[in-house]
Amino acid sequence: MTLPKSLTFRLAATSALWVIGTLLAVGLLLIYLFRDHIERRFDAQLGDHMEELLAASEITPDKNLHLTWTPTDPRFHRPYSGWYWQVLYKEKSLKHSKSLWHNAQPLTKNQDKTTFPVEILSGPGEKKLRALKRRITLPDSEQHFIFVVAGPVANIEGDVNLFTRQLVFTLGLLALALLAAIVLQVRFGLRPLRSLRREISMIRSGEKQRVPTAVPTEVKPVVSELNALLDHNSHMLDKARAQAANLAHALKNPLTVMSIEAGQIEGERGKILKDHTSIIKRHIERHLSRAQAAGIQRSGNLKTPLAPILEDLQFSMQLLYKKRSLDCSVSGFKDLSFRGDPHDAEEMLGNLYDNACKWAKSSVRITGALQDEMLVITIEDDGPGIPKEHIKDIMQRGLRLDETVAGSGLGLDIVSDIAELYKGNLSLSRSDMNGLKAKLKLPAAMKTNSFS
Amino acid sequence: MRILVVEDDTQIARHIKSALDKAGYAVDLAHDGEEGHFLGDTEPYDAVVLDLGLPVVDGLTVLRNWRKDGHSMPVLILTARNTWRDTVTGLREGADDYLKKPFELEELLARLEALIRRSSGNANPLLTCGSIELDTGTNRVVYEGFPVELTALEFRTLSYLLHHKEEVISKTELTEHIYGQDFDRDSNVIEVLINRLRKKLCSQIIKTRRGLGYQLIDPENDPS
Repeated sequence: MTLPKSLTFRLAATSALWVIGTLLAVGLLLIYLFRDHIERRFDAQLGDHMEELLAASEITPDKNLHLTWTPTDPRFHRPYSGWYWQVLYKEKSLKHSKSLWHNAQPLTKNQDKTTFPVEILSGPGEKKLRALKRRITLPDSEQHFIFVVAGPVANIEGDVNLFTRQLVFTLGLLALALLAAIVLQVRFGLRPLRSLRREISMIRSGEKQRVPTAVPTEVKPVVSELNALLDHNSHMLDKARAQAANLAHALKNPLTVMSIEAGQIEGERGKILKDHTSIIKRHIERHLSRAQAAGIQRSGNLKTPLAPILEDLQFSMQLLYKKRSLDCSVSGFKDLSFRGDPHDAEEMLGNLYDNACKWAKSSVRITGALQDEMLVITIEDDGPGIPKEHIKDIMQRGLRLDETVAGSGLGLDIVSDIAELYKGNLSLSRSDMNGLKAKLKLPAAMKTNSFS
Repeated sequence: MRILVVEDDTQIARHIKSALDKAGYAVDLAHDGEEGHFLGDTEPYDAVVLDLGLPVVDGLTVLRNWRKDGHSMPVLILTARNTWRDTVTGLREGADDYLKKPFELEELLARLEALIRRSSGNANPLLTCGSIELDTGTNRVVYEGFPVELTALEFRTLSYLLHHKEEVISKTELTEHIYGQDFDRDSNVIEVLINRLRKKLCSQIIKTRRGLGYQLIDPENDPS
């Protein structure tokens, strides 16, 4: 059998085990003590009756046993009441209580000893009797009489059974109460673990960077180990990213040489080489930007104002597309902030802006707005746009764009990749300026941020 | 037209140089930031191709220092870093254009040509003077509709004069812009070059301004 792997279960089950064990032991002990007590009292009662019987006994001058009175307890008079007395002489009943009726059978046999322990006998009707027996030599006589006083064992058993029932009920209630208390206690005790789980899931979803250290001392080592692990992980991740970036950069110079050399090879073979170097180039670009993107997990609650970024980009585009003298309007970004890494924002906006400028005939329009706590940034141009069927294709292929499709350039796929890291998205449609309209949805950083 | 190429990767530098040579430019190479900065600081270049990832002194610093010292030649930066931050920083520091590695040589030539044209104020890739036409895209020279074969030095001389039409260009300036730094400069050669150009083209076009230099004048605007 496999036990459920739950701390609550383990703690509750072990506690329940010892609680029930203890209660059982206590119960058994109590029953034993109670029985002992009852038996003592019973025996004392029998002793009283014996005393009474002995006091009534005297030896007549003709050496016969005579009872001046019989014990008064009415139970000795009621036939087969279970309460009996008897005086035996040499295996024969001399006198007996009325309750024995005409049954003069001796209740007991061995009469040789001088003292007897309390004895359990089988009385009339096979009823168990508890008997007190004495060998008595009365004054003025040399004969040994055996005096027997007996009472029904059933009386004791009845008392003990009643007590046992009451005890089981009481202890049962106590056990239930204790178990409930144990479960509550365990749950209360394990509450820090549940909140720890919440914290960890918040880390996974990027809402938090580290586990708060204000936890009970027992959990603290776990939390500090966890934080150390998180640091280690992020360090390793940074290292891996840096290595990926270094690799990509290291490949760029040889790749440049290769593509130049390939360009100098005449004919089909040169073309194949050139095509493949450009495929490598695109892979490198894409994976490098993915490796460099921070995403929501690494940027946490960074607040990145968009206006300065757009200002930088506008400066760059005006320079890069100077000869085209494009009319670029940027509006609505004054108070907008992106909840994420500034570098990522730059990459997404830069690629979209650049793409728009590349294809625009004369103007590019960029607007920002806040919609349901999300940033909505639209970048439109008046270029050729992407035909509807291509947009559908592009979206279905997960934005792995074909550079030959007019209106799209290398970079839209990168933008989409990064946006997804922020649970945002990029959608393409036709602009009312006739060109491509790229709509980027990203998480906004609220003005009144109350991050704990 | 004289170009400085600052690139530490010798293979890439070699390819750029040979492509630029072929396109009719005089090319100087520098392999680290220090050498590059010195050349750009002391020689008059018509354009610079500057790699950002340079040993000794990095490309951005070189660029910043040139601009601080008032050198305004167009600079095309080459970057292996592919982020917009790097691009924006490069442009803010005074670069005029950028190319991401790996790049195509044709792209580099086209960008460079556009930069040089822009810096001398010519929007049209077809430079003309009278019946002489120079297509900066293809580097072909046409006179009265017929192609003219020119040597590299003749081409550079004509190209420089065409880029600076109507300006008086001294022999020294011309020398500085048509020779790489490794050549022995002899101003007598300039006279020979000019004479050969006059022979191949129309002698009226290149005027000698005695004691000052040469001037390319459109016959329609010629006051004489």
